[in-house]
Amino acid sequence: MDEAMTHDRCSELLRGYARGELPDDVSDEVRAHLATGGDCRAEERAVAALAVTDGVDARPLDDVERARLQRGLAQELFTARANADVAGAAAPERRWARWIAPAATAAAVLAGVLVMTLGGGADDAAETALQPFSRAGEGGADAGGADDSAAQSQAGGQVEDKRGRRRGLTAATGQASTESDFAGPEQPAPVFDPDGGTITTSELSEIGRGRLFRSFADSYRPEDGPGLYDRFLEQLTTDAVALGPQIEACAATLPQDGSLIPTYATVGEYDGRRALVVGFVTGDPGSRTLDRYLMWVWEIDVCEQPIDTLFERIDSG
Amino acid sequence: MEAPSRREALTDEDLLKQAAAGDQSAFSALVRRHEDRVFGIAVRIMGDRADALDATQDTFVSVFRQAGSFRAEAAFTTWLYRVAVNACRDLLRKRRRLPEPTDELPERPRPGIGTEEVVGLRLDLARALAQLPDEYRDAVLMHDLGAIPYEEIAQITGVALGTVKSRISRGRRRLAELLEQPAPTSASKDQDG
Repeated sequence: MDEAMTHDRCSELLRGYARGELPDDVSDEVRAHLATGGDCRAEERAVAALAVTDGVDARPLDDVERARLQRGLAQELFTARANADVAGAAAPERRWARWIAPAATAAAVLAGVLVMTLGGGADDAAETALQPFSRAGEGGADAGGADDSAAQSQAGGQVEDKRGRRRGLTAATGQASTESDFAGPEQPAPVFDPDGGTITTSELSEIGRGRLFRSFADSYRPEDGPGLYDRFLEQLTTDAVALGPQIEACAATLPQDGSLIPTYATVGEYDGRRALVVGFVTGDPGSRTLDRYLMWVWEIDVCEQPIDTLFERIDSG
Repeated sequence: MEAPSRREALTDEDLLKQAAAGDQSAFSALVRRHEDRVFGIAVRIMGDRADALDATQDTFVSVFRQAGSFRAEAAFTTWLYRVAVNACRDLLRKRRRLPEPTDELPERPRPGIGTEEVVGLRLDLARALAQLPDEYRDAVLMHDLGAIPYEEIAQITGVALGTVKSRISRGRRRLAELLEQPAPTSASKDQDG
């Protein structure tokens, strides 16, 4: 039997042999061959060492992990670069293990997506040094700026005006919060645009840097996020009517740590596909300001993988 | 910025070139294309999904930062796997040096990476894998970690079946030699290769 067991054949069988996956007679042949020594013995030692990699939960990335990876990369790479450009700040450290709260909760959503409650990861030192925050009506962006010709002439241009005018940001305000001491009649509320038309990346970028997102950035603090998330998401899903469940399902694939404030949603055609866009204002953990926007573009009815994502400074460009 | 459907037709090297020029969407497309494979390697080496996610993130951060220096002398995936193994090795080294505080995640047991001994074994393996010649590492990772059959590896890598067998065999033998060598005492001996 052993004479038929060449080195090549033994090498080929070693992985199964080390894992006890071979039929007994074949396993005996391999064992007998190994007893003769030679290169196969060295290979066996390597395969045995590699066995430490067995027995792990090696399922592919799930939706939540995939979304965390994408968001983490966006934050680590592009936030770090932007921070360095602006203030020479060190790269933010992202460690998922710290973010995942011990009492992670799971909830079934439309697409059966797992929703995990994430921990905050805020920087205590930064929190103790919060600067005065510009609020609506206190010199910040005018949340009711649909009639503000000066604001319309600012960066953001036609797209900003198109969105702002058509949807009427003033009409979307006034959702007073009982939880947040920042809530008031002048504060902006999220906008759902039922007809985004043909959506392009550059247009989304202009919207993200435009008046709506700036008014959010000027009106809320990062710590308002947990209190605003559910309310604003509910408002968007209510406004979106039939598309509400889709928004809810796709938003559920994103981190639920309160760092994202739902700001904008629209539907339209993106790269030839019917697409849903949901935008958020956000900032780094420990940041004093909401100075970024995140735009997620999903194909309708497909939340597993976004078609595209944007993560940029709100005041850039 | 190119639309996703057009990007899908681009090679890894093309996407990397665009990413190096500052195109974030090209980089996102590259990540989406390879995140599952990198995670698959990382989760087996790290033994824990959260750590594997960290290693995957570190891998792509390194890829982005080194995108401009990629010379295409090897396939992008070969380079990517090397970066991934290095990221795992570096993270395991940090894990061993700075074990997670036990009170940080009290309700989240981490059976795969629970003991210092297991972390040490994983670190030794990652270190040895990092030192393997690229073509051996690719073959060993795909077959012995990824359970990809020889024939499929031949198709993926575009080399003859006999070459795949030879690379796996030689790679294992070299791996065994590296594992028997004492661990380097200086960080300088353990730099990314």
